[in-house]
Amino acid sequence: MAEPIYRYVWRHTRRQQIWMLCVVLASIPTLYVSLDLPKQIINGPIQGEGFENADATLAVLRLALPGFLTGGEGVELFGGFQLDRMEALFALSSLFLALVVLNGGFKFYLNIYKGRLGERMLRRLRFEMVDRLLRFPQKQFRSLRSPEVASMIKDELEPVGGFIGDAIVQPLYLMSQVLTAMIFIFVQSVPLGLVALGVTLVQAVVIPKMRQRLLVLGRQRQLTARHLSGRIGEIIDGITSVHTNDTSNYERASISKELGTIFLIRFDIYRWKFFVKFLNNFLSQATPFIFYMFGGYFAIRGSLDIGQLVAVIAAYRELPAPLKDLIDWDLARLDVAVKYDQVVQQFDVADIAPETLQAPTAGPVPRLTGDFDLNDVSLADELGSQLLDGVSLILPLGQRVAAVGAVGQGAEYLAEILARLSLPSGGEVRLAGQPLSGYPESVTGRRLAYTDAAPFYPQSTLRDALLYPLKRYPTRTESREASRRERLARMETEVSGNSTLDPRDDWIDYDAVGAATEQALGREIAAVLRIVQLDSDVQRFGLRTRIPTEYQSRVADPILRARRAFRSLLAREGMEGYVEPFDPDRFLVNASILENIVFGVSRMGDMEAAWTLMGGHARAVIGEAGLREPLFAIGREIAETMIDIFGDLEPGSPLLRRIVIMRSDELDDYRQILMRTEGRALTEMAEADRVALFRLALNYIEPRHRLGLVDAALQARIIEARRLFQRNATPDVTSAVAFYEGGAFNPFATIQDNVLFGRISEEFAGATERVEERLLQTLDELGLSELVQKAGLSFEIGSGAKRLSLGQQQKLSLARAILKSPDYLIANRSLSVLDAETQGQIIAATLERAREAKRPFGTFWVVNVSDHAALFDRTVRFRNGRTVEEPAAEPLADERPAQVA
Amino acid sequence: MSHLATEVEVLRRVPLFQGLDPPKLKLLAFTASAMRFRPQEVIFRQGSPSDSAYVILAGEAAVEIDTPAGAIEIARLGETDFVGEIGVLADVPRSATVRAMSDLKTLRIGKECLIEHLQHFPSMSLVMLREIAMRLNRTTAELARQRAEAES
Repeated sequence: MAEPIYRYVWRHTRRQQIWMLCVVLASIPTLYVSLDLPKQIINGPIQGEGFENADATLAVLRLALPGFLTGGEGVELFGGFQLDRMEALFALSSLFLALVVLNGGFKFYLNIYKGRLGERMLRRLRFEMVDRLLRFPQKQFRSLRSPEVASMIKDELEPVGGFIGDAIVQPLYLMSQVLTAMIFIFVQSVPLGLVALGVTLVQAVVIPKMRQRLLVLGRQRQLTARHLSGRIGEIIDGITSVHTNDTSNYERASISKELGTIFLIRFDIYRWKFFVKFLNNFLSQATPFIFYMFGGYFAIRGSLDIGQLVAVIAAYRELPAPLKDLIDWDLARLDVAVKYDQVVQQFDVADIAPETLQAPTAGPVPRLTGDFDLNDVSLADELGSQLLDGVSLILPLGQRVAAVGAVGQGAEYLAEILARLSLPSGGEVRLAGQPLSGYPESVTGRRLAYTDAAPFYPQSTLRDALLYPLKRYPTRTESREASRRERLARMETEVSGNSTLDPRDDWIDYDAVGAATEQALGREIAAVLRIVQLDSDVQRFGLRTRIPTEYQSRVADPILRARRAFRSLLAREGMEGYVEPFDPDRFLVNASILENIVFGVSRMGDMEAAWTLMGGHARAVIGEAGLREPLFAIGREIAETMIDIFGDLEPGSPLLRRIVIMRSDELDDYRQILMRTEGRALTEMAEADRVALFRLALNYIEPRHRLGLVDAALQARIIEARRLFQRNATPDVTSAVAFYEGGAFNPFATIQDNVLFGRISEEFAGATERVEERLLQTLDELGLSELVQKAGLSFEIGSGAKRLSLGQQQKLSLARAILKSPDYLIANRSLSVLDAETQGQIIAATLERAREAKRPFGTFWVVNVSDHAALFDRTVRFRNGRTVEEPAAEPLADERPAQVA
Repeated sequence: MSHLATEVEVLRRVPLFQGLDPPKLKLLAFTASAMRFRPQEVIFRQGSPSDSAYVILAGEAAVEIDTPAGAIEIARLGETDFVGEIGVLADVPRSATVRAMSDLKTLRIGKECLIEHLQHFPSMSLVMLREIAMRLNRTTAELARQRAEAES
């Protein structure tokens, strides 16, 4: 792809460029005629030339071949219409209008056509860059800064795409306009033509020179801006080390320095830009002066008629715009060529994988049989130290192998080589009789599975994260050809050379999992989640999720049955004290005051948002129930206590994280609010202060915050407020909140709230675990655990899976490796953060699955705890980058601790 | 239901926290969580990881040690007793099981929270150090007495 931009443009847009040239050629005659017409109008009908006799007529639209073509007299093709003076004026003026419209039409058509071409090329370029990124060799990623690459594809390619539409046609089109006008002027008057030519030459030569400087500055600006975005990215990624080392001020200083550099460059650009503009404007506006003076002189002397003078001035007015565009175009060309080269160079990486390696492959890939055959494999790092030193091994694909060795002794490097994440610097790796490097990813990516200790997950649901490895090729396509929009989108995708596979199709490879239906897939997922001990986590996520809409009508009754069954189970086990039931006449101790007043669930999932929406009604209810003063007092009390407790801690103290009821950075705000509101009546306070104090009060939960602020009298008032809130609910309120109703299923509440229909007491130790366990048991007995799992899988794991613990992330990574039913599983210290016992259990369960006759797989499992090697068929020990004869006689001295905090 | 104010009252009487000024006790109480146990419920079990310490606010608890012959009760705990702190400080598993003998109200102080307090308030560390040293002193004296008895 490292070809010059013009070759690239020509290769992809040859036909379109030629077509545009034809359009440009077709536009020249109309332009010329439209320049010539004003002269005819002024000289003819207006000044009366040729109309000296009252009944004289003028031939309009007369067509003739010029004399020089035919030799001698011109040949008349069409005699034209004979019109009198007034008729001729109207006809010629109308013709002029028609030509103006036609010229505009040409311009419009060309602009749209170029725009579309440019957008297509931008799409193609961006796609090609990402395509290449996907084929980069693994080692390339160590030196890549992701925000920089992203900004290259996003921002820097944009002008390149826009330019491509203009690349060839724009200069020719503009030149044709300039030349037409220039020739026209010369035809009218040679001296005036020379003046116009002179000024034009000055503009065309001097101004680009000055703009060169601008270009250089622009490039500097781009480089510094890119650097800045890289720096910001680094700050975000390294925020922990900023906080733990008090280096925030160093970061501030370095950003300030960068911004200073950018400022100077930008200001320089600014000055040059406006100077050039000034000069340009001056030249183009001063020239008419020459025309008025000299043109007027010639006209008075009679060597130029008025029509010609007006036409020359009009034609000259046509000149600056295309000329300026032409200069701009030339600058853009230089600028874009530089940008294009920079980007293309970045993406022109040596030993990029050939396209065939990742070619989309439909249908199943046959199982691999045989073994991994490693012959004298070695690996050196960038500094040349041997990480692996002459390893020769035969790893049968059906064999479960444990690799043992302390970190850095070589096992993990070999795992990466087997997974093709790094290439050996010496020796040969063969898989099933062929070199490993020759396999397309459709084989290695489907038949081998790899999992390590630091999996990455993009923002998605748990289900999508789990099924990601199964998305290789659409398995069930939907026909969307019906709509015009879809057809257009598809056509555009094809002409831009993008992937025509549609991510909206069902990509899940059900066959690979061995599941024919959605339900069977659910069962397979359940089995795998059990193996990695993620099942109860998922079930617990499910409890806290709403029931997916498509199941709601079906499960309302079973859920209500579960509610009753659960109640009696609690009673049988004497656990009623653990749950505080939803009762419209009872204050919920384990809920915030806000939840007590609203006594329902937000239909949009976020109670605070719903509350703001219901502002007016909520205020009225609080006032009517006489809660305004008490809530305000509670808010003040909370703020005072928090400032009393936490106010003296120095900023950044880890103890500040434990405020919970407000954010630690709000302490100062509240300190000020308290001062402002001291001794004032509610009505005298600023609205914002009132809201802030109410917010504290509304989020207060007695057993959690324990400030003793809610007494029986207040509880009674809150119950009263609850009644008013529900009775007088406006349509706004009912559309924002679904109230709890005894004996009814609430589709907006979580599964847990629906079955529990109450709150778990925060007071009792272990209440949550015990109650959840009973809940799951009840749901399971009623056959609802599948539903709970489904709901749990819809859990949003957050960007980078921040909402999962590291242990859960590692388990998930193993789960999806097993789910894809590989022939061989390479696990690279993949469960490192779990305790040794759990690791052992998960390994044992995985190996049991690996031995199932239905879809057996072998392993190369780099274990964290050497004792676990006993669970495998065979053990390979690593020391100093070499394999040690097995079984090893001596235990490893520096074994990595089982548990890493 | 327990309140911060009453919790601070109890904390003030805990020997380990003697001499700490009320704001620090308040901070400790607020950052801890109130936790109630029913009779016979286990607060923590011998051998499990030490993730928190408990201050008993009200009620009675028994300290038990597993032996081949079964569990033996070795001590009783009541109001103002602090339990589980050694495991947290030494980062070792629980050396005994603690079981509620009545309705038991406690303040649970998480490991990280306790350590943050100690790091933040040297005076608190010092008080705790003194108290633990005293205990060691008593234990050593007791051991010497037992040995002397055994020898004679």
